[in-house]
Amino acid sequence: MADGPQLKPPNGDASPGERREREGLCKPADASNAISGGPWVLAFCPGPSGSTCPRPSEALLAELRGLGASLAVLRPDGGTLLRPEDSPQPLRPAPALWARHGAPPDRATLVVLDDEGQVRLCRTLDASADVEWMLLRALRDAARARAPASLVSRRELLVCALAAAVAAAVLDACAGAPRGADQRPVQTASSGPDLIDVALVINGERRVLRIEPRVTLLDALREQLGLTGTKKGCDMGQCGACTVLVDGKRIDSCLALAVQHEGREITTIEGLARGEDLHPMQAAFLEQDAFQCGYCTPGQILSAVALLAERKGQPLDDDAIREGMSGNLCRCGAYPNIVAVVRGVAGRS
Amino acid sequence: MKDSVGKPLVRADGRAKVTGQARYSAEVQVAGVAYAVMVTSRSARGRVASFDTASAEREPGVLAVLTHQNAMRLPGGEGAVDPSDRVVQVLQDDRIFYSNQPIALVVADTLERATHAALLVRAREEPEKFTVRLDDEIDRAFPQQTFSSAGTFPADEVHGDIEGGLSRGPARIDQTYEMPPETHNPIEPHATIAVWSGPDRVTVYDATQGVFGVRKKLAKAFGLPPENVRVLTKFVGGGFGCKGSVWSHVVLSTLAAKQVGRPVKLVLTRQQMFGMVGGRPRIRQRLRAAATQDGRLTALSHQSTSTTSRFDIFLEPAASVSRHMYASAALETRHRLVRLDIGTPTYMRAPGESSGSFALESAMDELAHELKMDPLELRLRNYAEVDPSNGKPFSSKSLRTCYQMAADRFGWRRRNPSPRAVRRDGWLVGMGMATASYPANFNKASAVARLLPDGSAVVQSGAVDIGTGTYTVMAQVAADALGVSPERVKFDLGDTEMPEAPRSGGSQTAASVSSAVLLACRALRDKLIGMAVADPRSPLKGAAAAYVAVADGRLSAGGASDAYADVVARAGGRPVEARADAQPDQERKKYALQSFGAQFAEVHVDPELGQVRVARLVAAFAAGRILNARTARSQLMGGMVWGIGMALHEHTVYDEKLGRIMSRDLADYHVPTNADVLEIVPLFLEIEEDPHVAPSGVKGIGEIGITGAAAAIANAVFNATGKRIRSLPITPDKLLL
Amino acid sequence: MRLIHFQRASGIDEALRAGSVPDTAFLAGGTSLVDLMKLEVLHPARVVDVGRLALTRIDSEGGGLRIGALATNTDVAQNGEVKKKLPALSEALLSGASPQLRNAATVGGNLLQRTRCAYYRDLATACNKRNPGGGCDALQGWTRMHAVLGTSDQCIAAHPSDMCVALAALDATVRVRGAAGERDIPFAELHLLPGEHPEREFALAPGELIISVFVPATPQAARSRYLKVRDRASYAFALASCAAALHVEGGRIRAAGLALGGVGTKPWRVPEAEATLIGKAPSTEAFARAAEIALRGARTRPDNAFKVELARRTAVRALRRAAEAT
Repeated sequence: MADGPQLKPPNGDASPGERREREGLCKPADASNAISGGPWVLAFCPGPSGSTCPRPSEALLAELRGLGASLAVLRPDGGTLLRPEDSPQPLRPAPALWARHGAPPDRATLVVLDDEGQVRLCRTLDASADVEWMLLRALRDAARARAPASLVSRRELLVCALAAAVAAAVLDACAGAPRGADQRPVQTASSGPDLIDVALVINGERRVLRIEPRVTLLDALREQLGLTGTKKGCDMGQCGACTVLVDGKRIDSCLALAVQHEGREITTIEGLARGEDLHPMQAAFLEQDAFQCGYCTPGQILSAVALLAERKGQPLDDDAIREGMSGNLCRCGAYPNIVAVVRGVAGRS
Repeated sequence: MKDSVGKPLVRADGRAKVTGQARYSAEVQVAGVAYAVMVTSRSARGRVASFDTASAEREPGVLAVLTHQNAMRLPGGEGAVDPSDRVVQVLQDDRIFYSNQPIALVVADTLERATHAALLVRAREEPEKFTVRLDDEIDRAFPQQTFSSAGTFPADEVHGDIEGGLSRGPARIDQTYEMPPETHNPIEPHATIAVWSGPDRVTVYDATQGVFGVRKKLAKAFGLPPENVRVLTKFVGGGFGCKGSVWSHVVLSTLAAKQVGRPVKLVLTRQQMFGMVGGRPRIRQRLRAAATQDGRLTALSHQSTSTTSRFDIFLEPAASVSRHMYASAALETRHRLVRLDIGTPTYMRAPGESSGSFALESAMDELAHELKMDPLELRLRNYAEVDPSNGKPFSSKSLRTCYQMAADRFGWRRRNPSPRAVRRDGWLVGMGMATASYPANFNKASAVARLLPDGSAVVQSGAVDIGTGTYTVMAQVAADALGVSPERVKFDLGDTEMPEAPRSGGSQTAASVSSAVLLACRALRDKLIGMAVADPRSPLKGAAAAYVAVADGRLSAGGASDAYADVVARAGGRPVEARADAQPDQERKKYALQSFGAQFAEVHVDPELGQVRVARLVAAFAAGRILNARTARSQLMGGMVWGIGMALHEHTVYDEKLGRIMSRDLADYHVPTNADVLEIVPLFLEIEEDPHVAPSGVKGIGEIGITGAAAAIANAVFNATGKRIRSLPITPDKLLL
Repeated sequence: MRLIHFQRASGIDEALRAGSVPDTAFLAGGTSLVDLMKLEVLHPARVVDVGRLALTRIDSEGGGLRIGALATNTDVAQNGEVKKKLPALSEALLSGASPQLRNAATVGGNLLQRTRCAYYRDLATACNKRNPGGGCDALQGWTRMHAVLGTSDQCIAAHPSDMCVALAALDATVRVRGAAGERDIPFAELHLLPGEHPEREFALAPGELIISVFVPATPQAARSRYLKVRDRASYAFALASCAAALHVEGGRIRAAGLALGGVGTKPWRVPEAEATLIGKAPSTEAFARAAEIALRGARTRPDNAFKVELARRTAVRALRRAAEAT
């Protein structure tokens, strides 16, 4: 089929550049009106010579979603509203807001508002503080403090916890506490006597997880590492959606304990492309519409890559392709296009 | 619409899908999420007398074990919110209505802990007498006034003298066709993440075909104003109907999140996908038909009996397909329901049309055989120029063209009409055909279109793309309507904060949302033109708006030109916006609105071992305007593959003694593998002109691909073997003897 | 899954020591064990990962092939010597599961894989194998995929392996090592009939580790074929299957191996059926007679009665193909 112009990807897939462009081109909102409901975290950030300003990273968005909170980053020349599910919205300069919270012009200030707009915390930071990192830490600590409320309403507990956590983070920063890696994913592992350290090599990168031995490779990828490209379809080796490559061989990751494959080279769908350049198999799937809902697609692609490696040098007719790909179910019925893709890529290589 | 609509553009969401960047509902990154796992009933009917939750509660990391004894009371209850919605079981009482019904919920800090703790919950059930067998309750079958399927229709219709007509025709058939219950089994299991951000405000990420339905259900259940419930669904891993209703787990995860004070993620196991989230019901259809010696129908009677649960009504309208298909002097279509102790069935790809066409098209094939007539010729002899049930003219119908296109491509002329007459390489070879049809549904939808200062456009509607290509085709419609190139348009969906759209079901999204997008973009275009011609600084100032043409974002009239970007910039640099609603008008009701097609199948049957291969499936469809040839072909192909599954593989098996579904994973419930799908050829008319069906001229193609496919295959099996199989699926044991 | 204590064995002795602790299971590929542990059908407290032991070789040895217990299904199926000398084994392996599962599954794991009976896999139903004396809900339930041979009043679960059917027909022996040393088990003795104790599935002592499988490269093995009939074209268990091996010389069958799958509670080899073929010329009649004997004693349920005729026809065709093989 003829190649068509690439349409714009849907929201969430926009590049940071696109998003900033959008920001700049949309009408800036009035901060006092926009900051309502709650809870809110306000980060007053002075100009470029001072602290770093929080950017909408995956980790920050995950934390905001988890709390149901929104973030307003306020700079002297304006600012940005960040609700996790919306495009960042620019803000007009709001000197009145700075004054109301007593935010000095040369240092960063963090403010926590509850959902009635009451100030629960206000702290001014050191001039050299990395606001973004501190914010992340504070949000994480606040989340951990959640508990079923009994004496105190849940809302109240959350806001107290958030305020306390931000305060703690501020204190730590002042004390020069060491920083953790910012790319830490959504962390679900908790404490317990049965945890072991498992070193996995995923897409060339060594990651050490502290998990129970019973965690499957699939769940380690999806729930511990935030690598959700590998899909859970059946969790019992009957659909192939969880296909990954281990030392180049395709397996169902749902039927492997993560610890079984310690030290081996694991390749997931996230590891196929080289930056912006798609792997030829990915490009071919895209070109030939060899998918519809896309859920089985990462498994199909990895399976196809492995199939061609397995059969290198041997002829591969359509029947062999079909049989070779039968470990990957597609309920949308994209099979004929998948076969055409594999046939095409095999022919080219 | 000229330059973009119809073109086979690559999917807008394609890159996200092939790189694994697309986040489906369970994958949305929410920090601090806790995991919920359901405990389900063993009994098919009765009550839970008591729970022993002590060992589950003691497990490390367990945050809560919820049962009807300690779950919060839902102010709005468990009821359905509209005819397409279902009654659910969400820990509000001790009743058990079916085996594998949710009866408790464990919430823990890791998935492994929640899963294990769920198995530690002991429920003492008091079972009651039950049945899951159609024939046990057949004497208590009952009628309905209407059924609901993207609209409301009478359940029973009779025209003319049925019994007289049946006795008048010398050629007669009277056969019963049996179809087993089926299960949708999208590869993505149902999944919900619920996050409360206050006592009365919740955000839900849900694998649904309709975000507004989820919002409505949760708002009602929790007694919240709808604007306090936000539902987001950017990617869905297949729906096919099972994600079109809001099932128990959606309410349960939201309830759990409120009670434990943390975001809660609930993902169904594959076993839980059987029974509590719907499926196609068990259906028995009796087809009686009579025809003159030259093949004209004197009467057609189509009766369908299907199953529903004890606590809710779902009617699969299998007989309704006969209302639109063939000209017959007398026509009767009736539906009956039987209650069993099962989970409520639901819409499953072409509900009614796929099941009904199996019976109708098998019966027509039997009639053709009886008359010693070519099955295609029999269809043509009874071609309906107007809708047989109400005499309305079809808004458009190109079925003759479809028959011809498909028959020619297939080589129907080579068919040997004598059964069991053709062998090749040890296989028996047979050919069969059937007519396909699906209604052209159109329901109210809204959209908003915005032109940004850089000249690009953002268009939004709260629809969902379940693999259907909505992200892509709507951008194409918008591009043409606005007069910009498609790379400058982004279409976004899947958020209740966007204008409302109907759920992605009934093949209605394309027609409904494309019409709203079309109208919104035309309104935006007109607004911008209006701004230009009124603006003294515009080169087009004073031009007559009707003469302004737009292409590639440039406006021109009489040699002068302006650009969208400049119009916006001059007006202050803020985006210019227009909204529109689209809904069916009164004119539409004057017509019968259907898509049609023709399916042709070639099968190879192993004469000794009974295995069946569908060697070729060739079909042609006419469904109004096709928005994107690439995605349309995929949709139609997907439907045809479903036809193979329906014909040869799919069967939800109940243990009648236990009242429990025992085919409860993908090894025991078969859907086609890659090796089962050989040559599939979906042909279609790119444009079937239809000025009445919708402003965009679209009819929708998500489901028509499955209709008629199973019958074409079964008819081919008859041609190959001489055995008429009236009970699906056609497995080797049915062909052994 | 329950909590487990995990240990990786770096040598066979270490594995045996670890395996001698009660409630310990050996983990190789995991395609059967991890699956059943997640369902909590099997729940060992301790898991010993033997997946990296040096037991992957496939070597010629004394008139046959010795296949390491940790050779993957894929590696065995693709091995040149296996394809040439034991074609039914390669065909059987390739007809089973999916490429992904075959890449992980090992010979040892395949030998010890558990039944796919839906009742065994569902904790909410009664199962004598899972819970001795607990009853069997399959007997009066959905039995289309269940066994017709070797059944008892306690259990009718079919054995699911394709590889085992070929190994049965080809007269393999299984070498195991335990505290008492090494021993060879004739294939027919490895899997136990359910009888009164369906929970006893293998003739293995606790803590014994499968080391290798020896398959003699007989003339009949070189002309062996595997045929599998199933409900869909791939990735499905057998309705009926057959491994057939024939040595034909001077127009007469000198030796035969015949085993059935999908129909027995264990891989079903019938020496009496093989015996009727010896000395006869290969013919459909001779094959039909052998097939009939092979299905003798079948006890059927209404929904699996078809398997008798299907298995007969499958056996006949497999024998015909073996006779045609050069």
